[in-house]
Amino acid sequence: MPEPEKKIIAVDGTETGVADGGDAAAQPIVFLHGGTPGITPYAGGTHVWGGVPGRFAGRHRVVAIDLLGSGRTGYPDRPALIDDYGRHALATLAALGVEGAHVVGHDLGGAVAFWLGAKGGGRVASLTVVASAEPTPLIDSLEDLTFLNPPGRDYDYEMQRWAYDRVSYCDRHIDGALMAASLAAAAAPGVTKARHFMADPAALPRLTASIGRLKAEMWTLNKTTGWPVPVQYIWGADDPLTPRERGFKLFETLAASQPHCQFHLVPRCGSFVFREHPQHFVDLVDAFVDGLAETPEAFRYP
Amino acid sequence: MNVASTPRMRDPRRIDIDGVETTYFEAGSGETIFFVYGGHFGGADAGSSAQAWDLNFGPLSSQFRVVALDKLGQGRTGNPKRDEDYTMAAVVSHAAGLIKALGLRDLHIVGHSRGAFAATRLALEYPELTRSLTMVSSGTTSPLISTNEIRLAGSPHPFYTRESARFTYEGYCHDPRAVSEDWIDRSMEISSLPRVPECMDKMYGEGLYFRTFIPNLARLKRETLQWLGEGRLQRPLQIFWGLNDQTADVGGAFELHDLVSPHQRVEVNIFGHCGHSPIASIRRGSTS
Repeated sequence: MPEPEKKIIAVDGTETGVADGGDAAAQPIVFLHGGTPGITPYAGGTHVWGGVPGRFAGRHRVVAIDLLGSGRTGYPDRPALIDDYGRHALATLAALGVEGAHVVGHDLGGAVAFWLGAKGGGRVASLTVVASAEPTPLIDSLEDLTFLNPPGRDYDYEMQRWAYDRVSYCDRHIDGALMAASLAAAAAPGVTKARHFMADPAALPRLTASIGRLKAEMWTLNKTTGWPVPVQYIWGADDPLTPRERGFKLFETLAASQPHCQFHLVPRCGSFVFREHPQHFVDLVDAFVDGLAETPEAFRYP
Repeated sequence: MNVASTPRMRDPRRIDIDGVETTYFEAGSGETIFFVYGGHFGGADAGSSAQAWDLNFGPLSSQFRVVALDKLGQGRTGNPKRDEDYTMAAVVSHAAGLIKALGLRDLHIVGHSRGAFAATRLALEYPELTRSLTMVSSGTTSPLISTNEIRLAGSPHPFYTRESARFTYEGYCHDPRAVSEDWIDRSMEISSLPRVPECMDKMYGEGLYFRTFIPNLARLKRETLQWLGEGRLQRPLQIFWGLNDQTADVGGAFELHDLVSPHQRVEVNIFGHCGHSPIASIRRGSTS
């Protein structure tokens, strides 16, 4: 089966980096990377997934997307809100003809995954949310110091390596390929534009507020028609950015209305579960996806 | 493989372990998974047996050698020979006796509920036989309070009827539809064995439950939690729990994680819409 092929496509006028491969006829798995462009001190993109998407290429169509302002994807002419990220990801899936996908989202990509879960309709079959603080209940949480005062400047090697190390249990996964791709991404036009707009101190609170509105929708769905798609949560036990209590509370909350929810805590692991423990990660996604396929019809609700 | 349509475990095997006629099941080849189901002799679920694993046995036997026993005084295994053997310690020794008699080693030991406590004792007492430990929804091992007597109280049905078995299992499960007729059949086959009233008479008629079993378990539990906190479990631990378990609070999974994780790898896997028996959800063995 072909390894995912990197290419650039136009999505509603926005240049969009994607990797697309695997078995084109099989059920798709879609990867949405993390990192908030212009805020998080590493430059995210499809490159952070390393070899993991390719591990599914024999059994699935595999699609990884550079979100707005990351990798080789462009950025709007104003600070992007979560709805911009969500609409762009959904339009990218439409452009690629992706239906019924198992969506895997890390960090900010986890919030985009929830946006797709709420509004993506038939394009989304399930969510796997990895170490994603944004969609968790935030009220009364502590100020986050994880990325306070990064060293280096302008997304240079020192700054980005520090950022990856800061959220890892062990730095062994921070290899030359990750650093080279992250340095290249930091210089891309979309990323530069995102950094420009997010430098305005008012920009991040607006993004946070938009994620707050998304969460209000999630909690409302949960209390009314039910959270519409299965979700599994994969959390690293040693991730300073996403304390397990918050992930567990999110899991517990949506499990009230959605029968197919699982929570997995991975030991000796930071935010990048798929890089620090790739085989464990692949096994968890496989087991979840296979388990859904085997679930008797009578147990499929809401 | 479709777990839901997996056939029942077949071909029970018999072996004498220290004078107790013992039943066990075995299938597959490869690394060995040793299963210890929940409950204890004379408990509310007198019908439990190794067949508790029948959803897992078949699928896992395609990759592993799988072995499950009927514990001392349960299933089709004989009752304890002596009054002083109505203890968890004797259950553990009996299971170890079977492991040694079969020449099993390098075990991935998987225990559910009370059986997870026995599995933990096996891993702690026989590290030379153990490669990993998996605990499934175990109030007995959890440092928190178990609530099964509260949850299962007030059955309107006579003991050892299909209705009382259903009442008990539905109390353990989140979704009553999980309690299949097959599960009840299996339970009734066991609870109608002549061994069962003898065991009940010992436990409750002669009072061995509160005189012997519970004090021994309390002492062993204190020691076990102390040993886990000291780092004596020198093998990886994997924990499975049902989010909606009304008999053993899911917080126990994190309590056990926090006790052991300073010393060992501990995976925690929690299933939503799931009560005391997430066993049907365990698709991969303890080797991942």
